Amino acid sequence: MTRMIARHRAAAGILALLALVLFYTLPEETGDAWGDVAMATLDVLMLLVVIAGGWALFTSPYFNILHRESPLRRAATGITDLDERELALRDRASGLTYNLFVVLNMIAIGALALAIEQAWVVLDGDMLMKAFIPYSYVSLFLPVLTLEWFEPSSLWATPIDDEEEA
Amino acid sequence: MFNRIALLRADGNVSRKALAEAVGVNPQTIGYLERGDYKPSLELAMKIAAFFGVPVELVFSFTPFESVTDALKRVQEAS
Repeated sequence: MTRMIARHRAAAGILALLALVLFYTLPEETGDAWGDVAMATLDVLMLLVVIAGGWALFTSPYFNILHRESPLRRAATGITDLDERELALRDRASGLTYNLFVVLNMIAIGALALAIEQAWVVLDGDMLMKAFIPYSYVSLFLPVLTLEWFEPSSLWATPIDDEEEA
Repeated sequence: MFNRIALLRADGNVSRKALAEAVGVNPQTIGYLERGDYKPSLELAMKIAAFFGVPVELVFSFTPFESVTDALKRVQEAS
């Protein structure tokens, strides 16, 4: 059951991420064709997506683990605040995140190289800045999404205190 | 892997938080163990068994445990 919730949540997170990128890039590309009402609606939707994404991000167990991990202390002393399940989860998530980053970056670099070679795009500073923002969203959400795939966030899962009382 | 952690906790009136503190894990990990979503290390399994004062095979098993109702019926029929 918890795995199913985690998968649904991961799917919702990916959709929110795609919507965020879409809402950010679409008005810039087709801004002239949008009316004021449509643009305002889009702004509200974008804001909602950002709030939902931020909420999911900061209530995620990933941040809970990061907060309790004390990386500097672990590096210096070898002592960690995490238990064995959390360590396994962190290692699995970091491994998966790394693999996803490698695959995504290889695809992105390959596509960019092809586009430049074919003269479909001219690489300049403006384009890099434009591409960097959607990519930074991916960079921000990717670690959380990979972890959410395995473990439901506190946003959806029943809090431990409620389970105790039930 | 099946376990009787929830049953032993209820029997001893022990909260997840208390058990977690006693064996040195996050309370959420106890929840994961009880639901069977996480398999403990040998060290953690033995710590939990020691906390309840029972052999580890009474807490963890590869096969499903007999329900309390069935066990009570069996004991009553035998006596």
